[in-house]
Amino acid sequence: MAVRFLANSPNVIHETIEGEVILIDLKSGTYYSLREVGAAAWQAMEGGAAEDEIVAALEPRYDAPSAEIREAVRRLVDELEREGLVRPADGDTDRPEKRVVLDSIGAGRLPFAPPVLEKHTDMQDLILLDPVHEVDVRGWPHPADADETRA
Amino acid sequence: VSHAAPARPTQAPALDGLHDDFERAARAAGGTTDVSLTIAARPVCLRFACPAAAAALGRAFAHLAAAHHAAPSLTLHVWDSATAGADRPAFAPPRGADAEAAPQGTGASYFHSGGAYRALHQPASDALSVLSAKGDAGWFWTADATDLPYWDYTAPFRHLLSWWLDARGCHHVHGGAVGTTEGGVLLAGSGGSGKSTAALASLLDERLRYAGDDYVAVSTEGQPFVHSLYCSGKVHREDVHRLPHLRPALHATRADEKAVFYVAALPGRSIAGFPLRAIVLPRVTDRPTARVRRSTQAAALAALAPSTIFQLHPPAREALSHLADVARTVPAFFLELGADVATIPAELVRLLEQVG
Repeated sequence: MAVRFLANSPNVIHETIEGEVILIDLKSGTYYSLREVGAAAWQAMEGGAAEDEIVAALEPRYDAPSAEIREAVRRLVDELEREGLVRPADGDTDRPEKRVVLDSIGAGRLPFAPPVLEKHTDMQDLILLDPVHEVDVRGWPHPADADETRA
Repeated sequence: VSHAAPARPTQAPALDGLHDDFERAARAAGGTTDVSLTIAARPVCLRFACPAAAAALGRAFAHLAAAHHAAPSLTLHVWDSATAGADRPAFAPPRGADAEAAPQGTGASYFHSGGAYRALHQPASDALSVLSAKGDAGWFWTADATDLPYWDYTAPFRHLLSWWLDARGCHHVHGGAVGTTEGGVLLAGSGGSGKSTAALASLLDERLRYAGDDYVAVSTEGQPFVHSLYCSGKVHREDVHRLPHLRPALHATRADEKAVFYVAALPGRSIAGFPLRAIVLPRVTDRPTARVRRSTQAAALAALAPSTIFQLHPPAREALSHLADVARTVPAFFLELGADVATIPAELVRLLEQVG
């Protein structure tokens, strides 16, 4: 069964810039970056690709055996899910196979290196020291039983 | 500065009581102290209920003072209880158990967004910020305007201004900025990266002017444009001797606080804004002198976005895409800071000539 993954919005926001992906977890304050193979895999995932389809999208682009690419993609997807950055998409698991075409890189193949999810935790102190509690309409402000989660 | 009877702004009924509290405080103090400013190219009026609050919280905007006749885009009503002798507004929550001052940050905050207003209460500084849904009127009350921590009084009304700016295609950004009327740079990075040192050391060179060391506004419609918000600057006390040119701008602070400067005290050295030409990421290094090196758009976005997003209340999720647009439009550079801060401005001037 092909499981597709989506960015775990609304807690996770992301932007791709100059081929690098910046992801921010608004709840924890942790932010991440993905480059090269990781950014290409993210692009495929965002395009709606399941794990097999991400592998199929990367194979023509990188100079590496299929098994190595498959293993790297599996590890990346596991890590993204473990970090709470993606979640399985609901439904449509029996849809036809999706072919994702990545941005062209011209002729030839790129050298392959397993993707690295770079993790930055320097904002976490800010979240811990200065949390923002959203309070509801039962009365502004209503700190006594405010939701402890950050928006 | 003028003393005039306050005009009642149009507002949602739920805000009537809060505005009545402001008016009572102003009457008791003998009339408001009104300060006209131009912020992000728009007329803004700060109405202080008493002169002590105006002195404490108006100083950071001294470089933006302007006489104008158009109706203000924003009118902020500002008062406190200690200096105005006013009661605590009923709108503010009672002083609670979580009012302990946070040693390093602003502490927990409580935010509510309703039909008629957005409101934020920060128990550590006991500060209440309320902006009308229309965004043309705001209220800021605190227990004692002369006793706010330095990070508050050097950047007053930060949350009110960020909400107001957001609705006008302009965004509150965590970064410093220096430049000329032709163009300037945004200095991005987390605390300790050297933003303030780079921004304040730039004043060693007569060609560069100061738009801020920690927070500025950036309009993102068309060519990005930096708007100065505050003329204040802050450095660790042990670094003050490296910035002797700023001595006339030094403000008296408590021994446990950073040293604070108000650059408006240096005639002609602050600037209201400029077109953004580059994003510069300062880094403290062990080099003897400063050096500029090329960086990447992604590094610029990573330096700007997380700290901007998490310093705003509530976290400004949409800032990521706005800042990505800015980072895609102008080039990014590292500024390696050396032991000799006097070498910083020449590097920035050279960079501006190169990208201008």
